[in-house]
Amino acid sequence: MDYKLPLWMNTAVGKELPEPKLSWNRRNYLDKTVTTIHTVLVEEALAAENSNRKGLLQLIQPHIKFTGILLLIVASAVTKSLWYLAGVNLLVVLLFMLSACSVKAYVIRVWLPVLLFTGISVIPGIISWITPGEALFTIYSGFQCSLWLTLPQELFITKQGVFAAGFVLFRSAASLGLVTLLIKTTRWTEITQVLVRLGFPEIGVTILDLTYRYIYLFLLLLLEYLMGRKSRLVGCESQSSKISWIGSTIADFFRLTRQYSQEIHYAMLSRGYNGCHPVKTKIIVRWFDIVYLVVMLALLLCCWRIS
Amino acid sequence: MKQSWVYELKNVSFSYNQQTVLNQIDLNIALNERVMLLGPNGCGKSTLQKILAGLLFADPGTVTAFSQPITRKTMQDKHFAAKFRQKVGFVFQNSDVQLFCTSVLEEVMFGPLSMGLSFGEAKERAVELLTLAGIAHFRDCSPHHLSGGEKKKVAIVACLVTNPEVLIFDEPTNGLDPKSRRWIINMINELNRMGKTIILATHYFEFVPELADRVIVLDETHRIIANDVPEAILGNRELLLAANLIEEK
Repeated sequence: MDYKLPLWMNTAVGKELPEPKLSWNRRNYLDKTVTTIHTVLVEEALAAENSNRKGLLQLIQPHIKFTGILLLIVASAVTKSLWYLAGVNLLVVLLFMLSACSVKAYVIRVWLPVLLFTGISVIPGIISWITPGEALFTIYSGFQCSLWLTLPQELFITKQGVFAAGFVLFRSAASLGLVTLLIKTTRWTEITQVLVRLGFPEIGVTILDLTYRYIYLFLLLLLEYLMGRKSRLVGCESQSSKISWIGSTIADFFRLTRQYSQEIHYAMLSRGYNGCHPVKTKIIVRWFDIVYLVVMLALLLCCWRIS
Repeated sequence: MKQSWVYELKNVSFSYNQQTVLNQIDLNIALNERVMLLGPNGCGKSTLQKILAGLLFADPGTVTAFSQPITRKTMQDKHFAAKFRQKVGFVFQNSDVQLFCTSVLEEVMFGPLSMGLSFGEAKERAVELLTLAGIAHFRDCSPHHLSGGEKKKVAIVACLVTNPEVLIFDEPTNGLDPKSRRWIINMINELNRMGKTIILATHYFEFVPELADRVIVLDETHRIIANDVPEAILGNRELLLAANLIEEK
């Protein structure tokens, strides 16, 4: 084999590097994706760390914790008392604090999406046009409008509307808060074990388990892909080149997923997989697990009494 | 006389998911030098190489390449980043992540075309290097259909075609058959003879005498524990043991 390299490689690209021009916010799509993946990976590491911390809910046996939280979600879904819902939300905040989870995370994970999505959708419901009732705040009165849409002469925020919106918001926040609490204080493998014990279809749980594991692996791989792309950007990148790269990356990942799924299946078969999700943990109930379950049951009973 | 450094790294550290991957690295690399990063798995060789390639950024610490600072901010200047990447080529350990075009020829022509070379010139360069690598007959194949060794050759050729001054190789001989391994070793030495600066990472030290002018040893504490000529490193059994590069008999 001839190792004589072409002559054009003898000449250096030449010229020193130009002075970099500094400016604000010039991150491109590759940098943004890399940052997002890093954030996800860091969050994942933090979640694992969080579930191993010493906190109130981390002490509770996963199966009992899951059952208790499920009871409280049911109670939040069926209650007709706004005060009860407010109480559950307060309890969630308290449990967040006692379980070594930050209140900031609670606000970001629970209240931000609730206000952004549920909040926006319930806004129209608080006005008298949608929910008639007792006036709380008048938006306008004595207004005549006869265009393509006939507006009411008086528009106000109703007590009934605010009450209904409060119900929806508090109910969503309570359910989301409880689920977040469960995820933050329990390892994923424990959650899937609980699901199997509670009779969820094993194939579904296995798929969930594998998805969780391989998403992490694929994120790392995607990170390498992005760096591979970045390392070869030696000139201006056209819009069509960006789009074509994104397209080919999606196709590559489909190909890899297929390839991996086949190999994983063979690996599982070779290690004796027979369609059953192995349950590894033995349930050991301690006194504080019973106390926790009793408290949750009492809260469910409270809901029934109040309603 | 002050030596002209291609790279100057001062007190470079890097953490990933709150875990230290590099710990206070001080390192200078001169023009036309062959530097080998040696260390056990997970000691931070690949991360250090990615920092040298401007793909990751020191935090804290300073990295200067070709007398310019390489930071997240400076690399956001597209013109600067493009010029830097023309000068520094990086061959990944996993060639799959580096290849993204639909055919081998397209893959190799991607760099020169991005640099603004004419189609004819880009094709001429690409074919010349593919022939040299003995893979010209694959030019119309999809890179993903090639074997590991062939993919590695495509990745190297795709990197060389832009004629970078510094070439960074991450575990270039990993998982290759002896013939492909020999081809890569000879190619790297030929590139160095042509004036290229070579930075290699490996945990196989059999190739040290053939491929390095200077060896940098990292250990499991993610620090540099030795920085010397190959003979001195290979002759120091205690050091190799401490770095987990050989086993105790």
